Amino acid sequence: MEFSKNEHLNDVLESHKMGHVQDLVDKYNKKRDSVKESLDKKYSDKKASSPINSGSFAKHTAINKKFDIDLCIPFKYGAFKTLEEMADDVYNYFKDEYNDPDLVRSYNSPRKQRVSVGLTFNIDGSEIKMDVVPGRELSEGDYDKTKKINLHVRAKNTSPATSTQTSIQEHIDLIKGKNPERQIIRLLKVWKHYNSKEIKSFFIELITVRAFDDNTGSIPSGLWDKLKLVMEYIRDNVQNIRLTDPANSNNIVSDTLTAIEKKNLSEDMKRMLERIDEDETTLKIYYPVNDAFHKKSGSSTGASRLKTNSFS
Amino acid sequence: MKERLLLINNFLSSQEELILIEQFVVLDKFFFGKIQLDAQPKTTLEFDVYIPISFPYSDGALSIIFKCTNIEGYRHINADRSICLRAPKHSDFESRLKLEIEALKEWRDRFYIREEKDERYEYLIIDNIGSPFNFLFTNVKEGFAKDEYGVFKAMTLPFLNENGGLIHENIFITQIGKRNCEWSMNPVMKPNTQGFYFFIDKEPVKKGRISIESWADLNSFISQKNLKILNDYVRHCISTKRDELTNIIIGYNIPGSSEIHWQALVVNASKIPITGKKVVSNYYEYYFSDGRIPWCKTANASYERFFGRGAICETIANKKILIIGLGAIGSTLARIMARSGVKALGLCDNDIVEHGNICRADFGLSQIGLPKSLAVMQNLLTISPFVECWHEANLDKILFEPWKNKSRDRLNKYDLVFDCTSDNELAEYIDKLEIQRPVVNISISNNAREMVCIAGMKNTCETKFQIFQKLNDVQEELFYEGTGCWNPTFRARYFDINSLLNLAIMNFNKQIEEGRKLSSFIIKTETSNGLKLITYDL
Repeated sequence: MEFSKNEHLNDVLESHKMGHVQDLVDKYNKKRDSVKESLDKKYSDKKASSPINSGSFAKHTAINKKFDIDLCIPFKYGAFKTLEEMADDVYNYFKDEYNDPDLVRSYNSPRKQRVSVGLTFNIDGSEIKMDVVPGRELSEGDYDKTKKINLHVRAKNTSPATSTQTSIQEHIDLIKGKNPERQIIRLLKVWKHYNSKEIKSFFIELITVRAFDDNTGSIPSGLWDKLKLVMEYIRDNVQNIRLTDPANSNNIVSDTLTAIEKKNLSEDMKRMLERIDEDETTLKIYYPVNDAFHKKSGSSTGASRLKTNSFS
Repeated sequence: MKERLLLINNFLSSQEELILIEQFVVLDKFFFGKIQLDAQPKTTLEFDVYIPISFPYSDGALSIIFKCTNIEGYRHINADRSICLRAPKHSDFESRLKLEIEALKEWRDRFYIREEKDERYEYLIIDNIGSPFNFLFTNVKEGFAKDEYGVFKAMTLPFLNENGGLIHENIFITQIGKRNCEWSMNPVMKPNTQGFYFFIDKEPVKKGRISIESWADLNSFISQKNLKILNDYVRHCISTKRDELTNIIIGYNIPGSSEIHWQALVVNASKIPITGKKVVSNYYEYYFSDGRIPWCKTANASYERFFGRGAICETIANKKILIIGLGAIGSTLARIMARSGVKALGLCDNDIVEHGNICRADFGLSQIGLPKSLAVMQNLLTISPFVECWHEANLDKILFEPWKNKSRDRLNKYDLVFDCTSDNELAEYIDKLEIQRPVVNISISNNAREMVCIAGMKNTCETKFQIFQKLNDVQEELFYEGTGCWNPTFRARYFDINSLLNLAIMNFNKQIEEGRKLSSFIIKTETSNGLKLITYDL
């Protein structure tokens, strides 16, 4: 059967849908709700709003191979003296008070991350990761109006601790209703996952949306052509582009990648496009289907993979 | 011959500042004569000059030997009093002669008249010619106190002749007092001999850069307390008739550096010329009497020096690496890693060495029948004293469920995993483990036309399948060994496999050196227009 790039990419998206892992998703949701409830109780007089969902779940850009669940808890302006105190308080809560036998307690759980507290749960043998992001409204009563918060950014390597302003709602709104962009974001996340690339998903989202915006009026219709357009856009622009957080123009997201990481990313795109151009089936290497949920191949092809021992 | 003699005599007589005091004659394999070289305001220098008859070409490493007969102790004078010169080469007789004389004059000006000191430390010149012992040591973390005394431990690697006589012995010092040398803790480095160490506060210099040569000269360097200890030892050996071969090392700080150097000697206890003389009642003074110290060769073989001429990049060298599969690819990969300075290697293969493996894997005849991991370990330990390696027993067995967590933990202990098994089942299983460390899968196509290196992918097995589907357009016959139910194997020659493997390692090294992550590529052999190896990055 002739290989069709569009068909293959559709299979990739379909086989990576969250719906295939509904049981796991249910476990996630249940755990997320119980964490939300505990936070609500603990910080009943300090919160500016109940914890809100964020991350790829909330944005519908998750793939079933790897997904974290993110929660954001907005605090009142006067709840803590400093942002650091706020961040430490939430960390200490999970470390010392939070009582849940499912929470893995080890050297790296709960752990202090750049802007969040990282939690790992073990639910009936499945490992679930959750990030809790504490944020503080900009001024007394501001959250209800602007939905904006300030985050504490912990020191890393040589960069000192700092703070940043953001809005979870605006991040969600950024790709709300942008179905074609979301498809490409999910495909790039598939590539990122299988090829062990360490690019922030937020960066992928921003550059994809920008690629679409810059080509308004000339967006092709096929899935492959759209993916190609974005890959070409990244190849040509990633090294010079300035991408900022839509919720805070002072937060330059493009600076989270070093010059060499940007160059590597550009070269990754260039190489991929060249190889796919030489032989379109190479697309399968970069954007594989999730075999476990692929209707056409199913588990029966697993055996044929193992039979190719002409090189063993 | 006569012509050349005439040329030498005429040339040297005509040189400024130089007097030919004894005409050149043919002596054995040399033209031999004597010259004087003016060195005002200092004493005129006198040299015995040996010009090899092969001149202007060197005789082996030898060019002209200028042996200084009236001074010693200056820089760059060897133990046999010859001057260490580095004159440029020239194929014309007279031109080269001129260059050598110029080099001699330069040495005179810098190191005799002006007594310049080199920027780099020059080790003491020690007369150790003829000693079969060679001591190797590394830097240690803590320093030593003046007059410190103790026991050192060492591991010996002797080289014997066919009658069992000692031709040469390398002695690796493993521990000095409580300080460990940097060598790895591998079993080969297990100490099997020991000796005394004495730490003195300054270089044991006789004159200039020449080390003391006689026992008596050592008296002023070693404390009475330590001399007494040595004397008691010698008396004990003599009274119990155990005339042991005794190793002694003497250490000192290199001036202007934090480095320590050790000089060593090996001697029968009874041959140590030490005695005690009663000075007043109950008080003895101990001293060495005259006699030549049997110095041995010693060298600081710390990691930076051992691998100074060429090592893999530091990031890879410091990684804990696991190699699964020690066949044609894995066994050689392991050797290259050890020779390039990698410090920790886990080896995994439960197969044994067959005679048929030797033509393309890194094994020797005596290893037929040995487990491959053991054989590779044996090989590596003869190469690098800095590599620690161990056999990951039964890893392939625990790699399968229901011990998933156990095998994941075992793989996560490593920083980098090479899968050289070409076993797709294993590749698929490792994919499923989703370990946090980069996994590099290396495999080759039949006849080693291509090498496929898949790095850092979460779906290695599938990727490999897709790639080999594209490569395998030519179906080729596999190799079946004789009769019986052998598994067939691919055909490929040692040199074909290794030309690809070396290029693959160069490529990985480059990726890391450039600050990139390990990534996949294919190397193809192209023969259509001259022989070429081409790398395609994926």
